[in-house]
Amino acid sequence: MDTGLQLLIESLLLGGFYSFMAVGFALIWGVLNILNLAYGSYIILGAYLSLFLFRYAGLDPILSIPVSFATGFLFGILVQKLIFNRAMKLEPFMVLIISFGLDVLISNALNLLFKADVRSINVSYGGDSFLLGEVIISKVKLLVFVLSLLLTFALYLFLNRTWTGKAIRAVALDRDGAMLVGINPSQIFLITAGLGTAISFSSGNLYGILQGFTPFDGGLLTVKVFLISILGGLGRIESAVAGGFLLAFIEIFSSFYMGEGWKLFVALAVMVGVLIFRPRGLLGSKYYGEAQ
Amino acid sequence: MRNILLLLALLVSFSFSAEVLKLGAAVSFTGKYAKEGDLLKKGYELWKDTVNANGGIKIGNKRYKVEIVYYDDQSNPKRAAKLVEKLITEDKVKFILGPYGSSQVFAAAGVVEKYDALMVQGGGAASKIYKQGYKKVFGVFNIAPDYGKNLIDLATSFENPKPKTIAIIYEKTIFAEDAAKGALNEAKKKGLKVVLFESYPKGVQDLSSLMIKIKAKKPDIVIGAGHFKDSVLVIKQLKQFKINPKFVGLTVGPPIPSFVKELGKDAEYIFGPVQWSRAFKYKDPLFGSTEGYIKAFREKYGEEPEYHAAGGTAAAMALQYALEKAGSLKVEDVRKALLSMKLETFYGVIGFDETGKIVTKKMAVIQIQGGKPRTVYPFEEVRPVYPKPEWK
Repeated sequence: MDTGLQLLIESLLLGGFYSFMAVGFALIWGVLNILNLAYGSYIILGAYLSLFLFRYAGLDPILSIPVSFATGFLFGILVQKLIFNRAMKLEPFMVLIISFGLDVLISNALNLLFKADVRSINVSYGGDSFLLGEVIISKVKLLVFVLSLLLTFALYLFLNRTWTGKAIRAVALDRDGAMLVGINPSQIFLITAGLGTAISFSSGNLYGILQGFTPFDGGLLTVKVFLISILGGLGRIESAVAGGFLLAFIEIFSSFYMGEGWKLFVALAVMVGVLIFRPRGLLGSKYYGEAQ
Repeated sequence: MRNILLLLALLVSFSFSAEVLKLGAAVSFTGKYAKEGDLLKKGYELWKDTVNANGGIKIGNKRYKVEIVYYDDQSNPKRAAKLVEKLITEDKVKFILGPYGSSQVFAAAGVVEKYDALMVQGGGAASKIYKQGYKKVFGVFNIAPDYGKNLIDLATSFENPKPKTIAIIYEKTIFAEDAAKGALNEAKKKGLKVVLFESYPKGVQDLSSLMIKIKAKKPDIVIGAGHFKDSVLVIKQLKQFKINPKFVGLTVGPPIPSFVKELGKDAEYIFGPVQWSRAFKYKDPLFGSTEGYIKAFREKYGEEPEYHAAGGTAAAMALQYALEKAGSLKVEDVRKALLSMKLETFYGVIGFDETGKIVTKKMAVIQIQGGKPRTVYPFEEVRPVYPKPEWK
């Protein structure tokens, strides 16, 4: 078996998922300037939602992505309207604390509802894999990879081709300017919050078929999307994709050559390096859309 | 009035017929370990009733009826320690039967030692209980390294084909690392070539890199030492990476019903150690045999005994026979009797080393067959399946 090639494939497959998972976080951060620490718990919320639908309605987690997306969209708008809109008028620090509180709230609520047991969504194709030459490819990982890329690409088209998408980018670039051309920023904020949350919920579906989860896995996921956003930068969708793949490569290779325990350390070390030498990330610019 | 007098007379005559030996236990009846605590109590109670039905414990020339004072430690180690203190100082109990759970046992052990009492426990398996230099704490559960050791003993007993190489992966936690080292030492002793011995952090989500390493080394045996979540992950990913060792053993997981629920047919043929199994075939001085114990338990409770209850009964029996052998109620005498004990019971051979841990008992190993854990070692409830068929 060619170990190097196998590691490369693993990194690519994981990177696709990481990119999609982080896009929503980067979008919310870039447009609303909210660092949402509850984002990881949103993903877990999506995973439990798809688990629920799988168990009680027999709905495959892939097929329930639209449900998660819609639920996430509404949830995101609701939270934005009820909580963040008010908090955004205060210091940025307050928003950070509120999102942290939200994270604690969600994970503990999930714990009450579902207990701390590890849950997993056992789809029939879950354990299958096939050989491509010498390389083993897990079917689920490949499926998640393809779906992630498709959804990320759809989002890219939405932001670049539709009026609403362009308006989102305009608000990110310059709130005052956007208002001058007739865009209502508070409306755009709602849509962006909804969209970002919808992405997190949908990535929860994919997360749920990739691995087991507990109500308290959100924290680590938040760290990961944060890392991806810092590594890639906040500028464009491409930044999140670049960051996602980079993190995947770092994780897979460092855990192989240095040991499982090292991967978060190496990723954080690289992040510090990026912050020192390229403060806006590898492909980033200050706000969403500014680079174009 | 006459009736009352009669009753009184009856009571008096009864209480003179045998003295009472009071034992004490703080067990979890509420909280996280409520279920296990209840099972443990069932084990103690079955022992007590059986002993009393046989006329009690004979110490020296006197016979003592047994009485056990219970308190609820609420699954809280601090409370367990407080209650054991209360048992010793207020209830004047000298001999303590242990609580359930390593943390509770550990907390109780410190108190027992301080007040010069003596505890025999069947509820804690952490090695640290025996690393404090305590002299009056004895336990009948095999400790962590035995979990690894017994898996290797079984794996190396297979001849066709004889396993030569082994990979051990473990979670970086105290219990799992102890278990992994137990496997490592035994593997070296049995002449296996260790091709991989590596840890992963607690709460790991993905073991792909580790799997690629294992895949490249093609070991005959793969041992995973961890907890439930990562044990499930190990099996899922071994399959995903089409790694087909001849023997797959996990120190924690396989005997737990949700292991099969979680993995379905992929759980088949995985090995795992357990403290005690109903398939044991030992003689027993109190119940006749393991079978006799199971029968007695079933008659009293209408259910099958699990290892929690068996551990409780075994701990109490160790204390009983030490008391009888010592012929004295002095803690020091009973301790000496425990140290020199080698007693075959339904639970296995009970004997302790200087630190108070059991050293003469084997653990059982089960293999998942047909969706159920079946004992394959040291007694064969069913024939073990080896080498493991490839993943389907």
